[in-house]
Amino acid sequence: MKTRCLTVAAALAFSGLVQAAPFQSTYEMPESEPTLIRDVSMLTATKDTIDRGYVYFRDGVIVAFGYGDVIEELIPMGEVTIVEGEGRWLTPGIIDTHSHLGDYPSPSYPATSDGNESTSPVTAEVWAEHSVWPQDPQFPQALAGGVTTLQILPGSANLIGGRTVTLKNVPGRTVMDMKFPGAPHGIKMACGENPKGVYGKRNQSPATRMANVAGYRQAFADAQAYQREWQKYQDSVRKAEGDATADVADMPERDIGMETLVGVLEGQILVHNHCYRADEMALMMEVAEEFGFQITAFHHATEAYKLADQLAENNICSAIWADWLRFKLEGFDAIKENAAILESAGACAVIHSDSPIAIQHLNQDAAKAMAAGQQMELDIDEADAIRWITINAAKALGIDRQTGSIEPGKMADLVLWDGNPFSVYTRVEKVFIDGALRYDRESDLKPVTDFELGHRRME
Amino acid sequence: MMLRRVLCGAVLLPLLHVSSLFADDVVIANVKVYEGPGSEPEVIAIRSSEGVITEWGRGFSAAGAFLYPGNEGYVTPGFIDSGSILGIAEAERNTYAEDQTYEGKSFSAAFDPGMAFNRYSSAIPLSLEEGVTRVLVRPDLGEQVLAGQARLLTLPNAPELSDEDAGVLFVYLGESGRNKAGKSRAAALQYLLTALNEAQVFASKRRDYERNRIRELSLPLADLEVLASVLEGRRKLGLYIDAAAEIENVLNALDEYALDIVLFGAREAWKVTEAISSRDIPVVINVLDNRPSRFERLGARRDLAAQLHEAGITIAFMTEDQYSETRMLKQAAGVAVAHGLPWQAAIDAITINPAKIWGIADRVGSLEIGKEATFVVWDGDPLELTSSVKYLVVKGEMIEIENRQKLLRDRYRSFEKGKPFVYR
Repeated sequence: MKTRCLTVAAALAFSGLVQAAPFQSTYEMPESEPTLIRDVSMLTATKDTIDRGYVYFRDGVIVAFGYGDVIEELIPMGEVTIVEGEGRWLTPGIIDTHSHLGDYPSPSYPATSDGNESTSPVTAEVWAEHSVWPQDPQFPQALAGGVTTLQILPGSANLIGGRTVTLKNVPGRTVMDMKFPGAPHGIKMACGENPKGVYGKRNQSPATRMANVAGYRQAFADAQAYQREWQKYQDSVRKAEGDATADVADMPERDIGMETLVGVLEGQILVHNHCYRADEMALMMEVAEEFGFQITAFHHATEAYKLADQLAENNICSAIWADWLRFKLEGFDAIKENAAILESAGACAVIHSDSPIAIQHLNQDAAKAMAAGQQMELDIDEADAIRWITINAAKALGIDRQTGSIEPGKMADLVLWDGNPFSVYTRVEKVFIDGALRYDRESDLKPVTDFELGHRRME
Repeated sequence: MMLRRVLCGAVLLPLLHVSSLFADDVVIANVKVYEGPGSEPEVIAIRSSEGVITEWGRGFSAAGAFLYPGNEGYVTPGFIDSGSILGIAEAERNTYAEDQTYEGKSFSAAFDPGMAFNRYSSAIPLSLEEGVTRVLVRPDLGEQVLAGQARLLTLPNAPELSDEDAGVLFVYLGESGRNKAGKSRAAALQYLLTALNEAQVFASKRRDYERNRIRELSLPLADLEVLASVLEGRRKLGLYIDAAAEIENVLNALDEYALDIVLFGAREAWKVTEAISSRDIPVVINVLDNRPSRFERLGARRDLAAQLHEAGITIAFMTEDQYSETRMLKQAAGVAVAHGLPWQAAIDAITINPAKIWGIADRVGSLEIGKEATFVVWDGDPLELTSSVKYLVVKGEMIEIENRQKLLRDRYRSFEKGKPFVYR
């Protein structure tokens, strides 16, 4: 099914309509000093725990890491900035798969509320990045919590909310300055109470869960029709190249929302599906099967533990809170052991925030989820728990080959903590993004957004 | 384990998520009293009889008591969350199981959501599980500045409401109050002043009021009664204010009354500590919410607790969190420590300080002979994320915490083929 047609982007490029995809990343990796962090405890997110070791990075990339003493022949010590890591811990940069920073910034008023295009149940045409306010003071607050990468999603009012965007947590004058180079787009879809609640109240569809499912299916059926229409046009153009007498079909009109949905059908746009209940996740897997796409992650999957075996089998990540519950009925069965049960079943567990407060302490949330697993005597340790907020999150965002773990060749996105990251008393000391120091408590290096300037905020 | 053996004999009531032994003498041996990271904990034993701590220290006999091994777990008083909707909201949003907000206008100060407190709520064991044994249950913002009354309730059973009902009249000022008072903070304050004035007239001329001989008052009798009790010092006035300037403005305006004020929120209080400490006003804060999420919160900061403590202000913590009930109280205290608050001061902010603020410190809030035997034995540092409750004793009763979250966990422990899950 997937190989049947070329991508719409290719078709559009062929037609000469689109020269290049708009809103490309303009992030430029800053110059940075070659750096060696030594005598540091490390959680590498590759299931390694290193009691005392080192990491060396240069030009934004991790070059080497290892146990024990630094092997000096391998590292040109003369030109290296050395960070003494004694008593400290190093982890990959924290990655949040679910955030609305910039779309729901602080200050939080109707004037700044840009996260939910709740005017129609399917708004595949909107892109979360077009609402991101780069001056949101919550970005630096997340940085102080060790967050180096985050996905911004549209809200959950709609069945299909629009495109998501993955950002590096770096300051930018524009959202393009923050975009993670090469990260795929995602699409936000939502199950359950929110869409049916928003539209049901207005006496519009969907007012029920059954109409939710009908809504997704119709949207993707429409996308298939749109895909065929472009395919037909493209075939006729190709035919005309070899046969000047052949008619060229009229070029179909572009539909921005359909382009996104076709991107999902083509596997270029990752599906991030807000879905609390296990039974609804199973229905969504059927919808995905029907239209031949893959769900990358269920978000807010409070009941994922009830379906851990099937989620493992279908290679779907579950992005969850550690201990939120009861704030609505579909969150009533949330349990702290969710991540640990998923991990034990071989499924991909991710701890996410969905909150400008929780994003500041994802390490603490991972600690709570880890402890809950240990209390039920599952074989879970710190090496597992760190993965829930780093490499597994990277996997859910399709950037796990670039970042998310401490391995040679990966982006030097690193957090130095002043103690064990799973202790409540531990704080972030330094944050490196692509090897550049972006936050440093010691030298008081931290971004101050335009909005904060002159407002006498201090931390 | 001894606990299990002892409790096997206890009757477990169906649907009651908390079961307890009768209040026999309890001795927990070898527990640690802890002054915080870096200090040497002291190993002691603790005994309660008839709900009160009767012995505390080393070398006393456990004769005649149920003896529990403490295994050198840390002991603290039960924690107090000074702002929550526990027990008055089962599941929020689009359910009818919520009682924390009054959106009518028939009365205001008289609204008392504690009257709807559900002592069988399945949320309560989740709080006990985190060592929280008392909560100040408070109204959320409804349609009026005077949102209603808050009460301190004792878990798990929250008996007689009057038991320790210091009672608080909860008033939302700030931007929230402004939105309910004709869209001006000045109007919100004026509303409060007018209400107090009316209550003063009412209190001083009750007879005339009853004979309908004084000019008409705008507030209904039920509200006047509550406001009168505030003026007479029988009830506290809880003011939710964040902005530094507004804290000053409001406190200045209220100086002419003899009020027992407690500030809530107070995210910018660090700028006006003198105005607060000179009036000896305690402050209840939300440690984790440091966002500059409104203009009145531009000065929000994570080290607020440390700042206020240093200025000599009595602080207590509230979770005021709709997402996790009271579960994050000890985490909040731990975060306050990470941001400069001394460890013991953080423990105080969830034990003895709220006991003082809510007027029960003579019998609650610290481990002392003669005080209520409500305490927690932890399996690690009480504020650590990885620590959990080993024993929970409330008024001398050993409480076994059972909750539906644990039952769900155990039901889905294995995916092997077998009985359908609903029979597991």
